[in-house]
Amino acid sequence: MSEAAHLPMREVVRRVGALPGVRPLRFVPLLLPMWAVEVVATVRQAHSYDVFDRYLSRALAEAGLSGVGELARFFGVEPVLVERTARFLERIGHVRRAPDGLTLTELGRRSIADGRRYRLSHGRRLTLRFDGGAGEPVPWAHATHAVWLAEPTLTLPDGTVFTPLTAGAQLPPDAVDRLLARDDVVEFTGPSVPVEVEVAGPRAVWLPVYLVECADDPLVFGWAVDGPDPYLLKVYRGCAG
Amino acid sequence: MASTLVDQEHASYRDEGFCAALELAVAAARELGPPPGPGDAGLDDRIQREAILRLRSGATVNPALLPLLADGRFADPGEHEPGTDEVSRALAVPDLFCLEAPPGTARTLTVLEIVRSAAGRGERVLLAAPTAPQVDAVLARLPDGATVIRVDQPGSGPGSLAAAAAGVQQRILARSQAAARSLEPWLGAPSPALGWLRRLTTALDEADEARGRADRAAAHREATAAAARERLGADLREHARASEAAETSVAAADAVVEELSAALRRSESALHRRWRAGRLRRRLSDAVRFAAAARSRSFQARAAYEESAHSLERGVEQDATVRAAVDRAAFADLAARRALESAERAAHHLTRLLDGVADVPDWTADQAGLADLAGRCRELEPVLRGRAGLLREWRHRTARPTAQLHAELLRYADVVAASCVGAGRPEYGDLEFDLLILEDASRVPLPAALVPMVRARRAVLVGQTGRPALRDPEVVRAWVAARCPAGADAEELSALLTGSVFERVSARAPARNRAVTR
Repeated sequence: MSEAAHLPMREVVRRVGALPGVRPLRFVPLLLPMWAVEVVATVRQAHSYDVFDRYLSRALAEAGLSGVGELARFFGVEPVLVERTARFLERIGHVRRAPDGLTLTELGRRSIADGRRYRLSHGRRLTLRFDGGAGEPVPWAHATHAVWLAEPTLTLPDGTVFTPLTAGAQLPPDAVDRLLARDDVVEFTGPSVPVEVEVAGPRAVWLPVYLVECADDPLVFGWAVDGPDPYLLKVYRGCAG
Repeated sequence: MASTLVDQEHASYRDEGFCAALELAVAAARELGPPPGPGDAGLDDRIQREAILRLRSGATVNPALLPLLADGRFADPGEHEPGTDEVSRALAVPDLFCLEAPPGTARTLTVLEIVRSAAGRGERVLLAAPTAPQVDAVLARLPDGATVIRVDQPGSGPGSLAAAAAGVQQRILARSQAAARSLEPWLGAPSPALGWLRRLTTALDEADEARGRADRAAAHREATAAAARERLGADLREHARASEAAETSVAAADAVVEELSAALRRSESALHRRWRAGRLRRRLSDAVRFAAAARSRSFQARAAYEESAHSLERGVEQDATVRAAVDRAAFADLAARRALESAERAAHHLTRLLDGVADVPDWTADQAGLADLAGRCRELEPVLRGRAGLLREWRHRTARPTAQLHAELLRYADVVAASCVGAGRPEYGDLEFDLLILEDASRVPLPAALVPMVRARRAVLVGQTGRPALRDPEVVRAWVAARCPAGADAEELSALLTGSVFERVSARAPARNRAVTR
């Protein structure tokens, strides 16, 4: 019997019983095949702006101002305050100095556009997870609120044995690149968004779920969602073919 | 059996042992009873341990702080020649300077001058002391606009964060008022400035159309006049033909006179033809008379022609269709001029609105010059609208009392004054300074001094040598004998517990890193 904890079958039975109009036929504990990719990444983390740094960045982005002197006159502050704020923004990679004054970097522009002060951290180790069917990234809530097994075996204390589904195709080699290129990448990586990664090879991991075969469509229960989980159902269908 | 040889003299090993001794010193100081002072002892310990952690991991603003404190390895000053006085020498060292200030010397004055000089060249200064230092004298000597903050000052008293924030807010509102007023016309949807720009653009379009209409009306006027000339010009054309015929007749008569004159000259020069001369003279006389008569008729025909031409011009001018065309062309030309004048008025308004908020472009009051101005204003308008909106937001933001400014004021203040441990309070975040001035350093143990030292690129320690030990050496010796863990450097631990940072550093500092106040 493995040690990993998971929802007991009786809890799933109780939850299914509480669903109106659902007639369960069979409860099948399954291990969904998934992929974990360990990466060493440069991540972008969002922080709140303070006051001067936000307005200085906005002045560079929106008001066509760039010189320390003209910025100080515009805001009515001492030039040294602008200089020190610029130095701070330069240190976190938002501003660079050009011959004609200060300019925003791509990171600075993106920060102003999103209203969040992004900072880059290098050398962060992350685990990116993908489903074993289409190789799509796993949503952050599911990635963090789930039990991930390195081996395809799980038996709960109540004797419930989970059966692994056969792994499907290999993870597409460009799965990580496609994830990083998505506009909604934060939905899959959480608040630390990788922007550059060094990828090690993927390894197979397993996600315990309950498949509830019903008179109508089947339901899948996992740990991330209290009720039937449409995402896990989609993954199950992808894996089961 | 495997064995491990450890080179205890290796620098990294010594540094590690030194950091371990510092951590032990913090724990021992707690057990021996901390020097009396305000504050939360638990928090103070955590702050000192955090400083030791930074020292150990190399996360100090001066990356060479650990070897300096552990082994007295001071940085090479390079080729820079320091001055001869204490102030310039203290500011010239790249890492740490010990300023010994015996009683009765100009200690305060020298410290103030160091602070003033450093702040004057744009450096951020941390002024630290065993307890919160007084900054009134510092405030009085700093240039206008320099920000001085006492982080240990609660409430909104002078030098407190709240007071500094309020002062900055007031200055911002006062200084940005004129710019806000100048930019106000560029704000809104649509803004007054955009209204004038649209008027200029519309007037230019109208002027362009009106000019086109005027040109077409002028062409129509010319065509109408030509048609009237054609219609009314039969008499003139008749006189023209008569005049032309008269001139032909004159030419023919003149030719005959010329021919007869030549024949007469030939006849008179030849003896055998003289008999013809008389006849030729008579014929010439007739021809001359005939030519004179022809010339007279020609003059009359020319006069009649000119009279007819004048008459035709008067007729054309008085012709109703021509007069209508001329009136239409004149009105169209006037409308074009008025439209251009309207554009010029809008241009003058825009020029006034640009004054003080952007470089006013040169322009001329013709169609091309005004069009150039409108194009430049179209480029400037979104920029100035953005500035106006941003400045209004900035002033609204600044007018609100806010604690959000505090962190930034600390980050950007010229001078921050704090007690040693107070400089490391968690709410002050990752403050960094160009220069630390640690007053009364001979009363500060090294673990407490580390708190401000790890946050500064350079430091000036001010103190006295020969001061009594910070703790009773006998008590410390007894504690070390009883409690010092095996492997720890007992001697180093005793020194850290009894000696001050000033004594430790000044004893190892080379001459260029030391001075005595006079």
